[in-house]
Amino acid sequence: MKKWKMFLRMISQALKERKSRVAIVFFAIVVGIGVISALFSVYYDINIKMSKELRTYGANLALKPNSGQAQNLSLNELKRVIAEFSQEELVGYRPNLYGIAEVESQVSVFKSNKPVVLVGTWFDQIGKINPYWQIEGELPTNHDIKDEVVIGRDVAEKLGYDIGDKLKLATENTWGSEEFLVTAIVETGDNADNRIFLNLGVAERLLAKEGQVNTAYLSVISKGEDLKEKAAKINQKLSGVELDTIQKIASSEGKVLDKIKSLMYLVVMVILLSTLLCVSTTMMTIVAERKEEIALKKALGAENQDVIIEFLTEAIILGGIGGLVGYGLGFLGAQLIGKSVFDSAISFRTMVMISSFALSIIVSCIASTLPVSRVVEIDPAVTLKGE
Amino acid sequence: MLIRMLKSSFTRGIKSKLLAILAITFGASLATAMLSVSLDVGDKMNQELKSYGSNIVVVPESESLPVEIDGVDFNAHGAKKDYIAEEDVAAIKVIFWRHNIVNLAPYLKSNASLNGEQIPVVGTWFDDEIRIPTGEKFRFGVKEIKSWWKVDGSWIKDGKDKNQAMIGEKLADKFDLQVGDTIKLDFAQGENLVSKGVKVAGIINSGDDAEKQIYLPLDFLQQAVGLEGKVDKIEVSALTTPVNDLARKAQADPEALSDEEFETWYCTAYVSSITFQIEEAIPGVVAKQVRQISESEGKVLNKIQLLMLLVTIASLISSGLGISSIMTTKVLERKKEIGLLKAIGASDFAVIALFVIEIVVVGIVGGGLGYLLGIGFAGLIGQQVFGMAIAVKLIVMPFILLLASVVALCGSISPLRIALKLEPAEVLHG
Repeated sequence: MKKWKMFLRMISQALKERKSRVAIVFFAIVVGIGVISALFSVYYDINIKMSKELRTYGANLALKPNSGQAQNLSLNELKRVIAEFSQEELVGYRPNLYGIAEVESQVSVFKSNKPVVLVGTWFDQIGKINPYWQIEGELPTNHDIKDEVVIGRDVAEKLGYDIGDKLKLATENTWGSEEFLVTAIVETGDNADNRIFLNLGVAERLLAKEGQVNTAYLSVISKGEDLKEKAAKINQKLSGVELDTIQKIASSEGKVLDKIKSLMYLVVMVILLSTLLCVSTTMMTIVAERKEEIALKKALGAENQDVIIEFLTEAIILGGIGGLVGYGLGFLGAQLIGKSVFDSAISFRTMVMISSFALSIIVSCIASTLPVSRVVEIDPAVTLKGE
Repeated sequence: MLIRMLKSSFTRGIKSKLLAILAITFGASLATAMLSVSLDVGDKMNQELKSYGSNIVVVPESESLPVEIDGVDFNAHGAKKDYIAEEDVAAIKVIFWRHNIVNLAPYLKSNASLNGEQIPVVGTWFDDEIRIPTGEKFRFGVKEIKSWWKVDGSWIKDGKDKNQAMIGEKLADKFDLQVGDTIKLDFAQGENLVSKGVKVAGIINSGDDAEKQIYLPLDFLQQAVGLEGKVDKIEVSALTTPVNDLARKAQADPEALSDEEFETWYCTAYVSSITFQIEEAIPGVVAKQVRQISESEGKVLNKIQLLMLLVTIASLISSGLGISSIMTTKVLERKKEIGLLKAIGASDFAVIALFVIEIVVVGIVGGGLGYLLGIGFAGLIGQQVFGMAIAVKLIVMPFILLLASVVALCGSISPLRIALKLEPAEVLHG
């Protein structure tokens, strides 16, 4: 019991008496572990975060009717597929119903009718499925709006329409033509530029295809997993429809995610290595400085083992507290990175906390025992003489 | 005298300085590696993002609207089509930003009948050696542009007018075709039907419309349908700079720019300035940016660069504190020496001069070693992640040397001040 008390007193005395040195070591550990744990927290979240960012490329899954069978799929079938995805992973989904309509051209002197591809869709999903569209004007995001259309840039230019103009549409299933108001023009650089978009409900009526769609595009967060397997599983459950990955986006996404992940991994490893070496050299100098103290202890009858245990305990206390404080700061730092880069929080992982705590203790133990074990072999008399 | 003291301090005291130099080396190597990677990551990731495909399409200026659903053309037959001359295609590689043009492929669309069924066919370059107007040769074609295509069999190399074809997987399933089979295609050439046999070189699995199409060498298709030297679309894959306010302004209306702004815009590799230059180089075409690729590319690149910037700042903090804490302990260690110097009559200034020179030398030696080690780290990262070395910017070296010595000095200021304030007697007494 007495021995214990003595031991504790020695340790607390050692920490108290050498305030500036302890502060330096503590500071080095806190900052080192802080940086390491911040980067590890970010690293473990990078897959999901970057996979969310890559959704800016738009849809990565397409739902189509099973080839050979029906031309269309029903909205109910779409809903059944949607139910297979969780809220968090599904960014959005946009059904498309295609048809051909005759539109009066305003540019030529003879007012002629031109065929244009008509697309019925949900405009509220465009921001999620096609975030890269440049939209001029306002999309009719309410599904119930019946008298507004959105036109592609080429349609606007080649047929001579602008926002606010009235546009007359006729299909095989309409008597005469119907009039719509152009509320927005989209510019995309792909074939959406030469199409006319209107609400799905209206298109269903114009094309006489109630409750039907041709394709639906889904944007799903992959987290680096294979979307193909997931699509195949869903395909097995449902018949009549086929969920396919849009390889252009999905496969490139996998490649890019891999690159980013391995980049982060190596960067974190390099930082880990250098930081740990920096922290441990600092600790080593501080311990090596205590040669005389060790010699005095030995002269007073301490065994080598006692000295090592004492130094180890000091190291564990410093490393433990430093590791905890460092992790706390690191977690805050990770949030800072998450907020400024991804605009969302980095999740808490017990694993990172435990391992940075353990790492901190291990490193400080190794860094303090290395010089101590070299120093304990010294002859007290020689050292104390002040040679 | 000062020089002699410094000399002896480095010859006799070298052992105790080794640890400090080592710590500075690690700190500086970390800073070097991270700065190099972070400065180069934009270029490297830009290359990687090219796997999403072309970001610019070039089409002929035309009055008519394409009426196409899922790759099937619904335009009335005989509708007038406009074309781009094939000889103009290579002109894209001689625009101002020619080095940013990574790849390109021209297309000619038509129809052919296979077993009595009309099928869309596309003529293109697969992996062709192309001579550009300057005489240089490049390999262009869909092989690189459509990096997501999985091909069963092999890619057609230098297609020209070879009677080979790559067919979509869905078509292959439908007509039960395998690699190596020969198919007979009937092309409409004006009033006549031209029948040609082609050998299936590869089957395309692409997850898009290409699976329902037949791809033929460009020259071969041109001859078959009597459209020699004509293409109707060019896809271009270009390395671009993320869009900023100037680019947005230029895109809205290039006329609105002042002369100076125009020059800056023209001489920056924005996607809009590249499309502008393509339109300049080839008469009668419209070059459009594929917003799905070009917009997203910019966003993703910005994110990655921001991420790397923050990581670099974190690593600079870590290496800076590493260096300064080792210096603090090193100076504290030498309290006695300072006391002795003062006791034998050295002025504060002389002590400071001695230490500052020593610290700067240690900082520069450590910084230099760290720079070399850091280049090694950066090279390792480049090789592992991108398969090529990270471009080392020379600007990093003076910065690192400066950083190492300034930080080492900063770390020594407070312990030096403490040591100088102490009475020599006090320190020496122990």
